[in-house]
Amino acid sequence: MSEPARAAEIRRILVALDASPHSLPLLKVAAELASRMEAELLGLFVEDIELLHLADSPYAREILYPSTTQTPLSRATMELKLRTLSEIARKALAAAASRAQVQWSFRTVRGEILPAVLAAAGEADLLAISEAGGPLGRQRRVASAALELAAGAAPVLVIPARGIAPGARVAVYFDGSPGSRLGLLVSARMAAATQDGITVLLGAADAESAAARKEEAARLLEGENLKTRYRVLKPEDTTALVRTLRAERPGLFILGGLEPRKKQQWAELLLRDTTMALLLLDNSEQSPPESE
Amino acid sequence: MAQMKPLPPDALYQRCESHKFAFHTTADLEDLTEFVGQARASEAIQFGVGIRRHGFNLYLLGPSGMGKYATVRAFLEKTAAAEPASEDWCYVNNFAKPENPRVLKLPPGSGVLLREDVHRLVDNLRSAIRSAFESESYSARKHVIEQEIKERQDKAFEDIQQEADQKDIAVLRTPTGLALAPMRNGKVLSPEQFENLPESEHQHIQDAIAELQEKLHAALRQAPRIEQEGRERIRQLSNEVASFAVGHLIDELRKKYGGLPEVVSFLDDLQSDIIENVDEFLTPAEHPLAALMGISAPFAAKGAAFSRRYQVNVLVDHSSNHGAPVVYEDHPTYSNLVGQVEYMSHLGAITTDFNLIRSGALHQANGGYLILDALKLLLQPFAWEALKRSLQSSQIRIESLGQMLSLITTVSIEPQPIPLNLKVVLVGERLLYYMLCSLDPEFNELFKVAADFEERMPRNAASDLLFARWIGTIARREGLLPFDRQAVGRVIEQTSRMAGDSQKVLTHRRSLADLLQEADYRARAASRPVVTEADVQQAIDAQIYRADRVRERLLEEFVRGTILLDTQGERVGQVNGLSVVDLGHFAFGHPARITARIRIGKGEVIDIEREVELSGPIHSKGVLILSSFLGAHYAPDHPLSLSASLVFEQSYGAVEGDSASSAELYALLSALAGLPVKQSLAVTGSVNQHGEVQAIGGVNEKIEGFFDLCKARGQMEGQGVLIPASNIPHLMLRQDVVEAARNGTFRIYAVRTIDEGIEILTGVPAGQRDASGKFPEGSVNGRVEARLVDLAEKRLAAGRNAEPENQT
Repeated sequence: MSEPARAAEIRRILVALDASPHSLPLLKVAAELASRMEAELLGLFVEDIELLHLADSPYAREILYPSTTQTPLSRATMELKLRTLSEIARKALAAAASRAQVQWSFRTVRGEILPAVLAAAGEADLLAISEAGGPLGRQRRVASAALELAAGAAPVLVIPARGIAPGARVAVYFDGSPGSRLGLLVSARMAAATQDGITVLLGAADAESAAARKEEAARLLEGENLKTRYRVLKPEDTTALVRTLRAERPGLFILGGLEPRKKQQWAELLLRDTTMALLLLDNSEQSPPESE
Repeated sequence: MAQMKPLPPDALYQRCESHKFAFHTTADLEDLTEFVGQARASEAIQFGVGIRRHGFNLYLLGPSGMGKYATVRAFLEKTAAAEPASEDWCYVNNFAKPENPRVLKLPPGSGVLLREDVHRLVDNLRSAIRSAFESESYSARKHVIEQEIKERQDKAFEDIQQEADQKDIAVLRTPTGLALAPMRNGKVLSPEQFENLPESEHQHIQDAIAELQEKLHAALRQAPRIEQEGRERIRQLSNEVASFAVGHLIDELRKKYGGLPEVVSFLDDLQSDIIENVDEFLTPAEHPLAALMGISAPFAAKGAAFSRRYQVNVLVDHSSNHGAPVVYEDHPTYSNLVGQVEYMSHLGAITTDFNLIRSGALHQANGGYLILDALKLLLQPFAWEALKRSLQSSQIRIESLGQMLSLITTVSIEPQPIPLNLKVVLVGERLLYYMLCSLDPEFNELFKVAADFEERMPRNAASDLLFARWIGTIARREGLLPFDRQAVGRVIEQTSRMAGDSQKVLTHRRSLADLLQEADYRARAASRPVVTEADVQQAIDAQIYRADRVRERLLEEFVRGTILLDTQGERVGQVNGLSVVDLGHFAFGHPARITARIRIGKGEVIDIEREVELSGPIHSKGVLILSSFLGAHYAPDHPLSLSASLVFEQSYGAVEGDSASSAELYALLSALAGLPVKQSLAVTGSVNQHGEVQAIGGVNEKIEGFFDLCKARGQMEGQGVLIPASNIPHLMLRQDVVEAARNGTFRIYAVRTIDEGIEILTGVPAGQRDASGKFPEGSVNGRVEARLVDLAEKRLAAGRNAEPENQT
């Protein structure tokens, strides 16, 4: 494979950080991806304007978690907390980038989270974001929006709210589509650094097309010297998808191909039922996936 | 008194009658299995090994090189081979108290099997547990619980969220918790917007927020309880699934080790612990994502640390041993003896566990025999105390020396002690044994059997044949050529010479083996198929040549006249004494001029060596005996009024021993009697108060020392040596000395009394007291007595003349 990084066209990875516990694994995966893709990490911390509005209110009170103590809020306190979180996020990004030996930058913006993140995502080739957990809070809408974004044309790296379980293998979905071919190339690039190899989930309706897919995937991976396992998956069988991925225990699942709606459904399902990072790639015809 | 005759040549050397041997070479002889000349030690060893009582350990005492270790090792190995093999010992995790690792006793060879079985079990469990936990059934049941818990939690919060939405209140996550804010059209109101609202609306919003805050507070307080309930239910489910997955695999091992209750109990605990820690089995041993990120070390270390808890540390493995163990610990340090707990560095901390327990010689020899060098043991700090403690308590307790001395302050472990049942054999010098006996009361309680090795054994036809078999045995074991019978005879004669006794042979194995090896070397150099007498003689000569540089230089000084010593003529008050220089592995004799001067005095014999503190106590004792002899023998009725001085001429080092006391007495008598002594003779022998000459050591070396000087000067005209008659059995002289004696050019006289000796030295009869109590006039004794009377009278006269002066 001659130019997988160029093929992927991922040069800038925007990492939306909120200094929550989810940010750390997200940063690690994003930094590793940036290292493999020779991309730059762009850290973004949004100071939520709504929180500042809230803090300005004379009646504003905060219920601290987990103590459930109620305490008054002030703008000064809130700004201090946000600055602190921003600094924590910056340091975490710097450390992750240093370990992965990639270039990085970091900025803090003030505004509404979703518009700010989506606006910044437009400047990057990939948006890395963690899914916020729990039924409460307006911030959870950001992850949903990111998935919607991914369903379209923007690549997204997302990790589930419950965190990611260990697993060095890289799994990739391959159905022969341009997006899945790109996914295969990216997965090869990711797995090259480890001895764990990759698992290719061949999306095929029957044995004949599965064999064809396998032959094509093998051709694309030729010369990579990877330990490759192939698993056949019927495109409609989401139960088998979850079961297979649980068995394979990958650290990262790369999902290219599929039509947008279906990709979003799969992503939501996997974020709910598995513990691995998801890299959702563009399925457009623009990428040149052929290898040498 | 008749002229005393010199000893016949046959008395000077006891030949081995090798022509009477029935064998041609030692190849014809069977190996010797018993100890040569060690009947006492042999009986002691058999008793010590045979008796199975507390404290009946052995101490093998005797000089180094006797073959004590080889002898006892051979005996023990033979004995141990007929005994049952010892048990294996393993340390395993004590899951309830990890700081006290648990010990398991297993039949020989079972330790390694158990280790492999448990290792395989844990490997299998990893996949079995994963399979069970990845099953649809488990996932579904877990999912149901999680979903139920989630729904219960979500329900409470969703109700609040819904109510908040209805009341246009936003629920916001803050960096440290949750907060509520009024909103319109999905956006939080700014302070200005809020201020523009009517007052009634303010109150309404505040009431709504207060109400929601209370509900949120209650829901948040409830959340951990629900989560805890969920975790507990999942834990119960996990236990149930894990028990199912683990149970049947461990049951197989329970069945296999059913006869070993300790192992079954360990397996029970193992099962409980695995179920309790089942999550660890669901995590890969190495954190692969971490590897992907290039930060594998801490995760890898964690996985490895967990897998260590189920290992079996086989401390003692007897799978390849038959019979009871026989162990020799060459370096008996504290740790090598009782084992140790090692430490390792983990993330900067020093830690340890049961896997780092290492066995010591006591563990390896448990159930059998442990041989230790006593001196090496005593030189090692704490080792002797540790051995005694173990033997007294009959158990091996591994205690970290670092902890004991407070050198290490990290967390350590105290392994359960192992019952100890073994026989310890200490091998060492006699002096060490006697010191331990007198200084360490516990020694006598713990080492009740002493096997005292004899350095010499009687020499006769039967023992010669036994010795020949011993030579053959050593030759075979050391890969030497066979020795023909004449060579064997020469070896026996040489060992007799080494023993310093014509009626004994030396049983010092190392000296014998050295001689045999060198003789073998000579024979091989001459391309002979067997070792001959000539090879043995060559080896002896070469050994002497390598060692006798000092002797040669000393002899040279005698010949050149640097050291004054006459070997012919006669001198009054001058006798040739003989002394021995012992260089450790080689000893030689040489003559020394002893002179005596007499003058009037108070009856003292002054030993100049003693005055300048160059004489040892035994030498001084010998000189004091001379005074006593002179007084009692010659001056029983009048004061001994002489002052005599004795000196070893040109002696600049310490003089010890009483073997020159007869020579000193002869010099005194010569000086008193005014009779010259033949300088062609040299003298050795101690003397008692009755004038009897007593045996001395190194008689052969002394004779040869004087012989060599005479020979070097070319003065072989009847020169000779006076030796005590009681030393005749010790004569094993060189062949050139024997030959000279045979042709009369060198003579050896064996004397019993001073009278016999002085007659030979002066050629004048000694003289016996007659009926009137007088010695014959002109005899040596008569002259001595007359001189002493004369001295007494002169002293008396001198005293009278001095009196008036004294009175004034």
